[in-house]
Amino acid sequence: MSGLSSFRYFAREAIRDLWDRRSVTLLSMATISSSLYLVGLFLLVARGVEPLLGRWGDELSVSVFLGEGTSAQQTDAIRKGIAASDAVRSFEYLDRAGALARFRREFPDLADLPGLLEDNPFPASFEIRLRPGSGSPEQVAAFAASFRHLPGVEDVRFDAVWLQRLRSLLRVAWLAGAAVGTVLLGAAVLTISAVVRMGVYERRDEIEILRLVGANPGFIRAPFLIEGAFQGLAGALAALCGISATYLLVSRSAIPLSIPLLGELLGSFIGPLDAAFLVATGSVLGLAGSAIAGVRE
Amino acid sequence: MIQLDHVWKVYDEDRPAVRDVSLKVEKGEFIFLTGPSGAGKTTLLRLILRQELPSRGVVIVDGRDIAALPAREVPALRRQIGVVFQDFKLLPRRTVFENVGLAARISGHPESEQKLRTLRVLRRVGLGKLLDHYPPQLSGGEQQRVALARAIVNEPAIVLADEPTGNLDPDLSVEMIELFRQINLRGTTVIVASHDRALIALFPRRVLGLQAGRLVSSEGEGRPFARAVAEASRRRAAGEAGEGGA
Repeated sequence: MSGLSSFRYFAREAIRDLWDRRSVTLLSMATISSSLYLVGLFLLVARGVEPLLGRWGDELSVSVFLGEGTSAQQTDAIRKGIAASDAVRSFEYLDRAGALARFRREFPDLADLPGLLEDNPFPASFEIRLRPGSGSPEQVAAFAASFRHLPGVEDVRFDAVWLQRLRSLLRVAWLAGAAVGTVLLGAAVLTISAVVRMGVYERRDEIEILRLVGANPGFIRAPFLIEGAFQGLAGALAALCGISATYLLVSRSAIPLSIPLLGELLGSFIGPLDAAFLVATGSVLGLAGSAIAGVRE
Repeated sequence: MIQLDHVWKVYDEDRPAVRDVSLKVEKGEFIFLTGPSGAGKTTLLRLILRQELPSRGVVIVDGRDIAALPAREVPALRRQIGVVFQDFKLLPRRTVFENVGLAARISGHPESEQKLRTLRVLRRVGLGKLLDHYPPQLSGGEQQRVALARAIVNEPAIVLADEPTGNLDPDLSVEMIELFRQINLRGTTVIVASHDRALIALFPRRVLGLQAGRLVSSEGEGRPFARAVAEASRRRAAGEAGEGGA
Protein backbone atom coordinates (compact mmCIF):
# COMPACT_ATOMS: atom_id res chain seq x y z
CA MET A 1 0.00 0.00 0.00
CA SER A 2 1.53 3.33 -1.04
CA GLY A 3 2.19 6.10 1.46
CA LEU A 4 -0.39 8.37 -0.14
CA SER A 5 -3.03 5.66 -0.20
CA SER A 6 -2.31 4.88 3.47
CA PHE A 7 -2.52 8.53 4.38
CA ARG A 8 -5.82 8.89 2.54
CA TYR A 9 -7.19 5.91 4.43
CA PHE A 10 -5.96 7.12 7.83
CA ALA A 11 -7.26 10.64 7.17
CA ARG A 12 -10.66 9.24 6.19
CA GLU A 13 -10.73 7.19 9.37
CA ALA A 14 -9.73 10.19 11.44
CA ILE A 15 -12.38 12.44 9.89
CA ARG A 16 -15.04 9.79 10.34
CA ASP A 17 -14.11 9.46 14.00
CA LEU A 18 -14.01 13.22 14.53
CA TRP A 19 -17.44 13.53 12.92
CA ASP A 20 -18.83 10.78 15.12
CA ARG A 21 -17.70 12.74 18.18
CA ARG A 22 -18.22 16.20 16.77
CA SER A 23 -19.39 17.82 20.01
CA VAL A 24 -16.28 16.99 22.00
CA THR A 25 -14.14 17.58 18.93
CA LEU A 26 -15.53 21.11 18.66
CA LEU A 27 -14.90 21.66 22.36
CA SER A 28 -11.32 20.50 21.94
CA MET A 29 -10.80 22.72 18.89
CA ALA A 30 -12.30 25.68 20.75
CA THR A 31 -9.86 25.14 23.62
CA ILE A 32 -6.79 25.10 21.41
CA SER A 33 -8.20 27.89 19.29
CA SER A 34 -8.74 30.23 22.24
CA SER A 35 -5.28 29.43 23.61
CA LEU A 36 -3.63 30.11 20.27
CA TYR A 37 -5.79 33.22 19.81
CA LEU A 38 -4.35 34.70 22.99
CA VAL A 39 -0.83 33.66 22.03
CA GLY A 40 -1.40 35.21 18.59
CA LEU A 41 -2.66 38.48 20.06
CA PHE A 42 0.42 38.52 22.23
CA LEU A 43 2.56 38.08 19.10
CA LEU A 44 0.64 40.85 17.39
CA VAL A 45 1.27 43.30 20.22
CA ALA A 46 4.87 42.15 20.54
CA ARG A 47 5.30 42.77 16.85
CA GLY A 48 4.13 46.34 17.35
CA VAL A 49 6.08 46.96 20.56
CA GLU A 50 9.52 46.00 19.30
CA PRO A 51 9.70 48.49 16.40
CA LEU A 52 8.17 51.17 18.62
CA LEU A 53 10.84 50.64 21.24
CA GLY A 54 13.48 50.64 18.52
CA ARG A 55 12.16 53.92 17.15
CA TRP A 56 12.07 55.50 20.56
CA GLY A 57 15.59 54.21 21.13
CA ASP A 58 16.67 55.81 17.86
CA GLU A 59 15.17 59.08 18.94
CA LEU A 60 17.21 59.32 22.13
CA SER A 61 18.20 62.88 22.88
CA VAL A 62 20.42 64.63 25.39
CA SER A 63 19.90 68.20 26.56
CA VAL A 64 22.93 70.14 27.81
CA PHE A 65 21.70 73.18 29.77
CA LEU A 66 23.98 76.15 30.12
CA GLY A 67 24.29 78.38 33.17
CA GLU A 68 23.22 81.99 33.11
CA GLY A 69 26.72 83.36 33.10
CA THR A 70 28.14 81.10 30.43
CA SER A 71 30.53 83.02 28.20
CA ALA A 72 30.62 82.80 24.41
CA GLN A 73 34.02 81.04 24.61
CA GLN A 74 32.63 78.43 27.01
CA THR A 75 29.61 77.93 24.76
CA ASP A 76 31.90 77.50 21.77
CA ALA A 77 34.05 74.96 23.61
CA ILE A 78 30.96 72.93 24.48
CA ARG A 79 29.78 73.15 20.87
CA LYS A 80 33.15 71.81 19.64
CA GLY A 81 33.03 68.99 22.19
CA ILE A 82 29.57 67.93 20.99
CA ALA A 83 30.49 68.14 17.32
CA ALA A 84 33.55 65.96 17.90
CA SER A 85 31.54 63.05 19.32
CA ASP A 86 30.82 60.07 17.03
CA ALA A 87 27.60 59.32 18.89
CA VAL A 88 26.01 62.61 17.83
CA ARG A 89 23.72 62.58 14.81
CA SER A 90 22.75 66.25 14.97
CA PHE A 91 22.50 69.04 17.47
CA GLU A 92 21.19 72.56 17.70
CA TYR A 93 21.88 75.45 19.99
CA LEU A 94 18.79 76.95 21.57
CA ASP A 95 19.31 80.34 23.24
CA ARG A 96 17.02 81.49 26.03
CA ALA A 97 14.63 83.32 23.70
CA GLY A 98 14.48 80.25 21.44
CA ALA A 99 13.70 78.02 24.41
CA LEU A 100 10.88 80.34 25.46
CA ALA A 101 9.50 80.38 21.93
CA ARG A 102 9.59 76.59 21.77
CA PHE A 103 7.74 76.32 25.09
CA ARG A 104 5.02 78.62 23.81
CA ARG A 105 4.82 76.63 20.57
CA GLU A 106 4.63 73.22 22.23
CA PHE A 107 2.37 74.19 25.12
CA PRO A 108 0.02 76.85 23.75
CA ASP A 109 -2.30 76.50 26.75
CA LEU A 110 0.54 77.56 29.02
CA ALA A 111 1.93 80.21 26.68
CA ASP A 112 1.12 83.02 29.14
CA LEU A 113 2.83 81.36 32.06
CA PRO A 114 6.36 82.75 31.48
CA GLY A 115 4.89 86.28 31.20
CA LEU A 116 3.83 86.06 34.81
CA LEU A 117 7.47 85.87 35.79
CA GLU A 118 9.78 88.88 35.70
CA ASP A 119 12.38 87.12 33.66
CA ASN A 120 12.62 84.39 30.99
CA PRO A 121 13.01 81.21 33.11
CA PHE A 122 14.36 79.01 30.33
CA PRO A 123 18.12 78.41 30.10
CA ALA A 124 20.02 78.19 26.82
CA SER A 125 20.81 74.61 25.81
CA PHE A 126 22.28 72.30 23.24
CA GLU A 127 19.66 69.76 22.03
CA ILE A 128 21.59 66.71 20.87
CA ARG A 129 20.11 63.81 18.83
CA LEU A 130 22.14 60.63 19.08
CA ARG A 131 22.87 58.28 16.22
CA PRO A 132 20.55 55.24 16.00
CA GLY A 133 21.95 52.40 18.08
CA SER A 134 24.42 54.72 19.70
CA GLY A 135 24.48 52.64 22.81
CA SER A 136 22.92 51.36 25.96
CA PRO A 137 21.50 53.66 28.62
CA GLU A 138 24.85 53.28 30.43
CA GLN A 139 26.75 54.53 27.38
CA VAL A 140 24.32 57.41 26.97
CA ALA A 141 24.80 58.24 30.66
CA ALA A 142 28.58 58.24 30.18
CA PHE A 143 28.21 60.47 27.13
CA ALA A 144 26.09 62.89 29.15
CA ALA A 145 28.51 62.80 32.08
CA SER A 146 31.38 63.85 29.81
CA PHE A 147 29.68 67.26 29.42
CA ARG A 148 28.41 67.65 32.95
CA HIS A 149 31.66 69.12 34.35
CA LEU A 150 32.55 71.36 31.44
CA PRO A 151 32.72 75.04 32.41
CA GLY A 152 29.38 76.73 31.68
CA VAL A 153 27.28 73.55 31.86
CA GLU A 154 24.63 73.68 34.52
CA ASP A 155 22.82 70.37 33.94
CA VAL A 156 22.57 67.48 31.48
CA ARG A 157 19.33 65.53 30.98
CA PHE A 158 18.62 62.49 28.88
CA ASP A 159 15.63 60.19 28.36
CA ALA A 160 17.28 56.74 28.26
CA VAL A 161 16.41 55.71 31.79
CA TRP A 162 12.64 55.55 31.36
CA LEU A 163 13.15 53.67 28.12
CA GLN A 164 15.29 51.14 29.95
CA ARG A 165 12.61 50.85 32.63
CA LEU A 166 9.99 50.30 29.95
CA ARG A 167 12.12 47.57 28.39
CA SER A 168 12.49 45.86 31.78
CA LEU A 169 8.74 46.09 32.30
CA LEU A 170 8.12 44.60 28.88
CA ARG A 171 10.55 41.77 29.63
CA VAL A 172 8.51 40.93 32.72
CA ALA A 173 5.33 41.16 30.62
CA TRP A 174 6.93 38.82 28.06
CA LEU A 175 7.79 36.26 30.74
CA ALA A 176 4.32 36.49 32.27
CA GLY A 177 2.77 36.15 28.81
CA ALA A 178 4.97 33.16 28.00
CA ALA A 179 4.01 31.50 31.31
CA VAL A 180 0.29 32.09 30.76
CA GLY A 181 0.62 30.94 27.12
CA THR A 182 2.39 27.75 28.24
CA VAL A 183 -0.34 26.98 30.76
CA LEU A 184 -3.09 27.64 28.20
CA LEU A 185 -1.41 25.55 25.52
CA GLY A 186 -0.72 22.80 28.07
CA ALA A 187 -4.42 22.78 28.91
CA ALA A 188 -5.23 22.59 25.19
CA VAL A 189 -2.90 19.59 24.78
CA LEU A 190 -4.58 17.84 27.71
CA THR A 191 -8.01 18.53 26.23
CA ILE A 192 -7.02 17.07 22.86
CA SER A 193 -5.46 14.14 24.67
CA ALA A 194 -8.69 13.53 26.60
CA VAL A 195 -10.78 13.71 23.43
CA VAL A 196 -8.47 11.30 21.59
CA ARG A 197 -8.46 8.98 24.60
CA MET A 198 -12.24 9.03 24.52
CA GLY A 199 -12.05 7.94 20.89
CA VAL A 200 -9.61 5.16 21.78
CA TYR A 201 -12.01 4.00 24.49
CA GLU A 202 -15.02 4.10 22.18
CA ARG A 203 -13.15 2.16 19.54
CA ARG A 204 -11.50 -0.33 21.89
CA ASP A 205 -13.36 -3.27 20.30
CA GLU A 206 -12.25 -2.18 16.87
CA ILE A 207 -8.66 -1.75 18.09
CA GLU A 208 -8.77 -5.24 19.58
CA ILE A 209 -9.99 -6.68 16.27
CA LEU A 210 -7.28 -4.81 14.38
CA ARG A 211 -4.67 -6.26 16.71
CA LEU A 212 -6.02 -9.78 16.24
CA VAL A 213 -5.96 -9.57 12.47
CA GLY A 214 -2.34 -8.45 12.52
CA ALA A 215 -2.38 -4.65 12.32
CA ASN A 216 0.92 -2.99 13.17
CA PRO A 217 0.90 -0.51 16.06
CA GLY A 218 1.48 2.28 13.53
CA PHE A 219 -1.63 1.26 11.58
CA ILE A 220 -3.69 1.45 14.77
CA ARG A 221 -2.17 4.71 16.00
CA ALA A 222 -2.07 6.68 12.75
CA PRO A 223 -5.74 7.75 12.60
CA PHE A 224 -5.60 8.96 16.19
CA LEU A 225 -2.43 10.96 15.54
CA ILE A 226 -4.06 12.52 12.49
CA GLU A 227 -7.13 13.31 14.59
CA GLY A 228 -5.01 15.18 17.10
CA ALA A 229 -3.03 17.02 14.44
CA PHE A 230 -6.24 17.94 12.63
CA GLN A 231 -7.82 19.32 15.80
CA GLY A 232 -4.68 21.37 16.45
CA LEU A 233 -4.52 22.60 12.86
CA ALA A 234 -8.20 23.53 12.74
CA GLY A 235 -7.89 25.25 16.12
CA ALA A 236 -4.89 27.24 14.89
CA LEU A 237 -6.68 28.29 11.70
CA ALA A 238 -9.70 29.39 13.74
CA ALA A 239 -7.35 31.33 16.03
CA LEU A 240 -5.79 33.04 12.99
CA CYS A 241 -9.25 34.02 11.76
CA GLY A 242 -10.04 35.38 15.22
CA ILE A 243 -6.82 37.39 15.32
CA SER A 244 -7.48 38.79 11.83
CA ALA A 245 -11.00 39.76 12.84
CA THR A 246 -9.76 41.43 16.01
CA TYR A 247 -7.06 43.27 14.08
CA LEU A 248 -9.50 44.52 11.47
CA LEU A 249 -12.08 45.47 14.07
CA VAL A 250 -9.62 47.46 16.17
CA SER A 251 -7.61 49.00 13.34
CA ARG A 252 -10.74 50.20 11.49
CA SER A 253 -12.50 51.51 14.55
CA ALA A 254 -11.96 54.87 16.21
CA ILE A 255 -9.90 53.30 19.01
CA PRO A 256 -6.47 53.93 17.39
CA LEU A 257 -7.40 57.60 16.93
CA SER A 258 -8.37 58.05 20.57
CA ILE A 259 -5.45 55.94 21.80
CA PRO A 260 -2.55 56.71 19.44
CA LEU A 261 -0.24 54.20 21.15
CA LEU A 262 -2.69 51.40 20.35
CA GLY A 263 -2.70 52.55 16.75
CA GLU A 264 1.08 52.26 16.68
CA LEU A 265 1.00 48.82 18.34
CA LEU A 266 -1.44 47.57 15.72
CA GLY A 267 0.63 49.10 12.96
CA SER A 268 1.00 45.80 11.12
CA PHE A 269 -0.66 42.39 11.16
CA ILE A 270 1.32 39.31 12.22
CA GLY A 271 3.55 38.24 9.39
CA PRO A 272 3.45 34.98 7.41
CA LEU A 273 6.17 33.50 9.60
CA ASP A 274 4.19 34.18 12.77
CA ALA A 275 1.07 32.75 11.13
CA ALA A 276 3.01 29.66 10.04
CA PHE A 277 4.38 29.38 13.57
CA LEU A 278 0.84 29.44 15.00
CA VAL A 279 -0.41 26.81 12.56
CA ALA A 280 2.62 24.58 13.11
CA THR A 281 2.29 25.01 16.87
CA GLY A 282 -1.37 23.99 16.70
CA SER A 283 -0.59 20.87 14.68
CA VAL A 284 2.35 19.85 16.86
CA LEU A 285 0.30 20.36 20.03
CA GLY A 286 -2.47 18.24 18.53
CA LEU A 287 0.02 15.51 17.70
CA ALA A 288 1.45 15.74 21.21
CA GLY A 289 -2.05 15.46 22.66
CA SER A 290 -2.64 12.28 20.65
CA ALA A 291 0.76 10.89 21.51
CA ILE A 292 0.16 11.24 25.23
CA ALA A 293 -3.33 9.79 24.88
CA GLY A 294 -1.62 6.42 25.12
CA VAL A 295 -2.68 4.66 21.93
CA ARG A 296 -0.80 1.45 22.35
CA GLU A 297 -0.43 -1.70 20.33
CA MET B 1 3.32 -26.23 10.99
CA ILE B 2 1.99 -26.00 14.55
CA GLN B 3 3.45 -27.80 17.51
CA LEU B 4 2.57 -27.63 21.18
CA ASP B 5 5.00 -29.22 23.58
CA HIS B 6 3.81 -29.87 27.17
CA VAL B 7 1.86 -26.64 27.16
CA TRP B 8 0.11 -25.39 30.27
CA LYS B 9 -2.01 -22.32 30.68
CA VAL B 10 -2.91 -21.52 34.23
CA TYR B 11 -5.25 -18.68 35.22
CA ASP B 12 -6.43 -20.42 38.36
CA GLU B 13 -3.98 -22.80 40.06
CA ASP B 14 -6.81 -25.14 41.01
CA ARG B 15 -8.19 -25.37 37.48
CA PRO B 16 -5.59 -24.91 34.73
CA ALA B 17 -7.23 -23.99 31.41
CA VAL B 18 -4.75 -26.13 29.48
CA ARG B 19 -2.85 -29.00 31.10
CA ASP B 20 0.26 -30.48 29.62
CA VAL B 21 -1.00 -30.53 26.03
CA SER B 22 1.35 -31.78 23.34
CA LEU B 23 0.24 -31.99 19.73
CA LYS B 24 1.48 -31.54 16.23
CA VAL B 25 -0.48 -30.22 13.24
CA GLU B 26 1.05 -30.77 9.83
CA LYS B 27 0.90 -28.25 7.02
CA GLY B 28 -2.36 -28.56 5.08
CA GLU B 29 -4.08 -30.62 7.76
CA PHE B 30 -7.72 -30.12 8.81
CA ILE B 31 -8.32 -30.72 12.48
CA PHE B 32 -11.34 -30.55 14.70
CA LEU B 33 -10.73 -29.56 18.29
CA THR B 34 -13.61 -30.70 20.38
CA GLY B 35 -14.77 -31.09 23.91
CA PRO B 36 -17.39 -29.65 26.23
CA SER B 37 -17.55 -26.00 27.21
CA GLY B 38 -14.59 -25.03 29.39
CA ALA B 39 -12.45 -27.86 28.00
CA GLY B 40 -9.77 -25.41 26.86
CA LYS B 41 -10.48 -25.23 23.11
CA THR B 42 -10.60 -21.45 22.95
CA THR B 43 -7.52 -21.12 25.17
CA LEU B 44 -5.61 -23.43 22.87
CA LEU B 45 -6.53 -21.31 19.85
CA ARG B 46 -5.60 -18.14 21.73
CA LEU B 47 -2.20 -19.68 22.51
CA ILE B 48 -1.61 -20.40 18.82
CA LEU B 49 -2.62 -16.83 17.90
CA ARG B 50 -0.37 -15.54 20.70
CA GLN B 51 -3.28 -13.84 22.36
CA GLU B 52 -2.03 -15.72 25.41
CA LEU B 53 1.41 -16.89 26.44
CA PRO B 54 1.80 -20.40 27.81
CA SER B 55 2.42 -20.67 31.56
CA ARG B 56 4.70 -23.62 30.77
CA GLY B 57 5.74 -25.44 27.62
CA VAL B 58 6.41 -24.30 24.08
CA VAL B 59 4.10 -23.26 21.23
CA ILE B 60 5.78 -23.40 17.84
CA VAL B 61 4.14 -21.94 14.74
CA ASP B 62 5.90 -22.22 11.42
CA GLY B 63 9.15 -23.19 13.16
CA ARG B 64 9.16 -20.28 15.62
CA ASP B 65 8.65 -20.38 19.36
CA ILE B 66 5.96 -17.71 19.45
CA ALA B 67 6.41 -16.95 23.15
CA ALA B 68 9.94 -15.80 22.31
CA LEU B 69 8.78 -13.56 19.47
CA PRO B 70 9.48 -9.87 20.06
CA ALA B 71 6.28 -7.82 20.31
CA ARG B 72 7.03 -6.07 17.00
CA GLU B 73 6.88 -9.42 15.16
CA VAL B 74 3.54 -10.48 16.58
CA PRO B 75 1.45 -8.62 13.94
CA ALA B 76 3.33 -10.44 11.16
CA LEU B 77 2.62 -13.79 12.85
CA ARG B 78 -1.08 -12.91 13.12
CA ARG B 79 -1.21 -11.96 9.46
CA GLN B 80 -0.20 -15.57 8.70
CA ILE B 81 -3.19 -16.78 10.68
CA GLY B 82 -6.79 -16.13 9.73
CA VAL B 83 -9.21 -16.31 12.63
CA VAL B 84 -12.96 -16.80 12.74
CA PHE B 85 -14.32 -15.88 16.13
CA GLN B 86 -17.39 -17.35 17.70
CA ASP B 87 -18.87 -13.87 18.19
CA PHE B 88 -17.74 -12.88 14.66
CA LYS B 89 -15.96 -9.74 15.88
CA LEU B 90 -17.17 -7.65 12.97
CA LEU B 91 -17.12 -3.86 12.98
CA PRO B 92 -20.79 -2.88 13.10
CA ARG B 93 -20.30 0.55 11.52
CA ARG B 94 -18.38 -0.81 8.54
CA THR B 95 -19.91 -2.42 5.52
CA VAL B 96 -19.31 -6.03 4.64
CA PHE B 97 -16.80 -4.90 2.03
CA GLU B 98 -14.97 -2.66 4.51
CA ASN B 99 -14.85 -5.34 7.19
CA VAL B 100 -13.14 -7.76 4.83
CA GLY B 101 -11.13 -5.11 3.00
CA LEU B 102 -9.62 -3.94 6.28
CA ALA B 103 -7.75 -7.22 6.69
CA ALA B 104 -6.49 -6.93 3.10
CA ARG B 105 -5.38 -3.37 3.79
CA ILE B 106 -3.50 -4.39 6.92
CA SER B 107 -1.48 -6.86 4.87
CA GLY B 108 -0.18 -3.95 2.83
CA HIS B 109 -1.37 -5.02 -0.61
CA PRO B 110 -1.73 -2.28 -3.23
CA GLU B 111 -5.20 -0.72 -3.16
CA SER B 112 -6.39 -2.31 -6.41
CA GLU B 113 -5.22 -5.72 -5.17
CA GLN B 114 -7.05 -5.20 -1.87
CA LYS B 115 -10.30 -4.54 -3.68
CA LEU B 116 -9.86 -7.46 -6.03
CA ARG B 117 -9.09 -9.89 -3.20
CA THR B 118 -11.99 -8.61 -1.13
CA LEU B 119 -14.48 -8.94 -3.96
CA ARG B 120 -13.22 -12.37 -4.91
CA VAL B 121 -13.37 -13.77 -1.40
CA LEU B 122 -16.81 -12.30 -0.71
CA ARG B 123 -18.14 -13.92 -3.87
CA ARG B 124 -16.51 -17.17 -2.80
CA VAL B 125 -18.44 -17.22 0.47
CA GLY B 126 -21.64 -16.19 -1.31
CA LEU B 127 -21.84 -12.59 -0.15
CA GLY B 128 -21.21 -10.89 -3.47
CA LYS B 129 -24.57 -9.12 -3.31
CA LEU B 130 -24.27 -7.85 0.24
CA LEU B 131 -21.11 -5.78 -0.08
CA ASP B 132 -22.67 -2.54 1.11
CA HIS B 133 -24.66 -4.06 3.96
CA TYR B 134 -23.72 -3.50 7.57
CA PRO B 135 -23.28 -6.47 9.93
CA PRO B 136 -26.40 -5.70 11.99
CA GLN B 137 -28.41 -6.00 8.76
CA LEU B 138 -27.15 -9.56 8.21
CA SER B 139 -28.28 -12.90 9.57
CA GLY B 140 -25.99 -14.91 11.87
CA GLY B 141 -24.93 -17.17 9.04
CA GLU B 142 -24.11 -14.22 6.79
CA GLN B 143 -22.12 -12.54 9.55
CA GLN B 144 -20.19 -15.75 10.11
CA ARG B 145 -19.38 -15.88 6.40
CA VAL B 146 -18.13 -12.29 6.52
CA ALA B 147 -15.89 -13.32 9.39
CA LEU B 148 -14.65 -16.28 7.34
CA ALA B 149 -14.04 -14.05 4.31
CA ARG B 150 -12.01 -11.71 6.49
CA ALA B 151 -10.01 -14.64 7.82
CA ILE B 152 -9.08 -15.95 4.39
CA VAL B 153 -8.81 -12.76 2.33
CA ASN B 154 -5.03 -12.74 2.69
CA GLU B 155 -4.75 -16.47 1.95
CA PRO B 156 -3.14 -17.22 5.30
CA ALA B 157 -1.19 -20.39 5.91
CA ILE B 158 -3.38 -21.22 8.91
CA VAL B 159 -7.06 -20.66 9.64
CA LEU B 160 -8.34 -20.97 13.20
CA ALA B 161 -12.07 -21.05 13.87
CA ASP B 162 -13.57 -20.91 17.32
CA GLU B 163 -17.04 -22.45 17.36
CA PRO B 164 -17.78 -21.11 13.88
CA THR B 165 -21.14 -22.86 13.85
CA GLY B 166 -22.09 -22.02 17.41
CA ASN B 167 -24.74 -19.52 16.34
CA LEU B 168 -25.91 -21.26 13.19
CA ASP B 169 -28.70 -23.70 12.43
CA PRO B 170 -27.69 -27.23 11.32
CA ASP B 171 -27.92 -26.55 7.58
CA LEU B 172 -25.85 -23.38 7.79
CA SER B 173 -23.36 -25.19 10.02
CA VAL B 174 -22.80 -27.83 7.37
CA GLU B 175 -22.42 -25.10 4.75
CA MET B 176 -19.85 -23.34 6.90
CA ILE B 177 -17.77 -26.45 7.52
CA GLU B 178 -17.93 -27.15 3.79
CA LEU B 179 -16.37 -23.72 3.22
CA PHE B 180 -13.57 -24.63 5.62
CA ARG B 181 -13.09 -27.89 3.77
CA GLN B 182 -12.72 -26.01 0.48
CA ILE B 183 -10.17 -23.67 2.04
CA ASN B 184 -8.28 -26.69 3.31
CA LEU B 185 -8.30 -28.21 -0.17
CA ARG B 186 -6.23 -25.22 -1.30
CA GLY B 187 -3.49 -26.21 1.15
CA THR B 188 -4.41 -24.07 4.16
CA THR B 189 -4.03 -25.63 7.57
CA VAL B 190 -7.41 -25.45 9.31
CA ILE B 191 -8.19 -25.92 12.98
CA VAL B 192 -11.86 -25.76 13.89
CA ALA B 193 -12.89 -25.78 17.54
CA SER B 194 -16.42 -27.10 17.93
CA HIS B 195 -18.47 -28.87 20.54
CA ASP B 196 -20.94 -29.99 17.87
CA ARG B 197 -20.20 -33.69 17.76
CA ALA B 198 -22.90 -34.44 15.21
CA LEU B 199 -21.37 -31.96 12.81
CA ILE B 200 -17.86 -33.29 13.33
CA ALA B 201 -19.15 -36.76 12.58
CA LEU B 202 -20.23 -35.59 9.15
CA PHE B 203 -16.72 -34.56 8.16
CA PRO B 204 -14.26 -37.31 8.91
CA ARG B 205 -11.06 -35.55 9.87
CA ARG B 206 -8.52 -35.84 12.67
CA VAL B 207 -10.27 -34.90 15.89
CA LEU B 208 -8.46 -33.82 19.03
CA GLY B 209 -10.52 -34.14 22.16
CA LEU B 210 -10.03 -31.87 25.13
CA GLN B 211 -11.50 -32.26 28.55
CA ALA B 212 -10.78 -30.03 31.53
CA GLY B 213 -7.77 -28.63 29.68
CA ARG B 214 -6.26 -32.02 28.97
CA LEU B 215 -5.93 -33.67 25.57
CA VAL B 216 -7.90 -36.83 26.17
CA SER B 217 -7.80 -38.41 22.76
CA SER B 218 -6.78 -38.06 19.17
CA GLU B 219 -8.70 -39.95 16.55
CA GLY B 220 -8.25 -40.24 12.82
CA GLU B 221 -11.91 -39.72 12.20
CA GLY B 222 -14.70 -37.84 13.80
CA ARG B 223 -17.19 -40.59 14.50
CA PRO B 224 -15.30 -42.76 17.01
CA PHE B 225 -13.90 -39.78 18.85
CA ALA B 226 -17.25 -38.08 19.09
CA ARG B 227 -18.49 -41.23 20.75
CA ALA B 228 -15.54 -41.24 23.11
CA VAL B 229 -16.14 -37.65 24.13
CA ALA B 230 -19.85 -38.28 24.58
CA GLU B 231 -19.10 -41.20 26.82
CA ALA B 232 -16.53 -39.24 28.78
CA SER B 233 -19.03 -36.42 29.28
CA ARG B 234 -21.69 -38.87 30.41
CA ARG B 235 -19.25 -40.46 32.84
CA ARG B 236 -18.28 -37.09 34.26
CA ALA B 237 -21.91 -36.06 34.62
CA ALA B 238 -22.75 -39.32 36.33
CA GLY B 239 -19.74 -38.92 38.67
CA GLU B 240 -20.71 -35.38 39.60
CA ALA B 241 -24.31 -36.48 40.19
CA GLY B 242 -23.05 -39.32 42.40
CA GLU B 243 -20.82 -36.98 44.42
CA GLY B 244 -23.68 -34.54 44.77
CA GLY B 245 -26.00 -37.30 46.02
CA ALA B 246 -23.53 -38.74 48.59
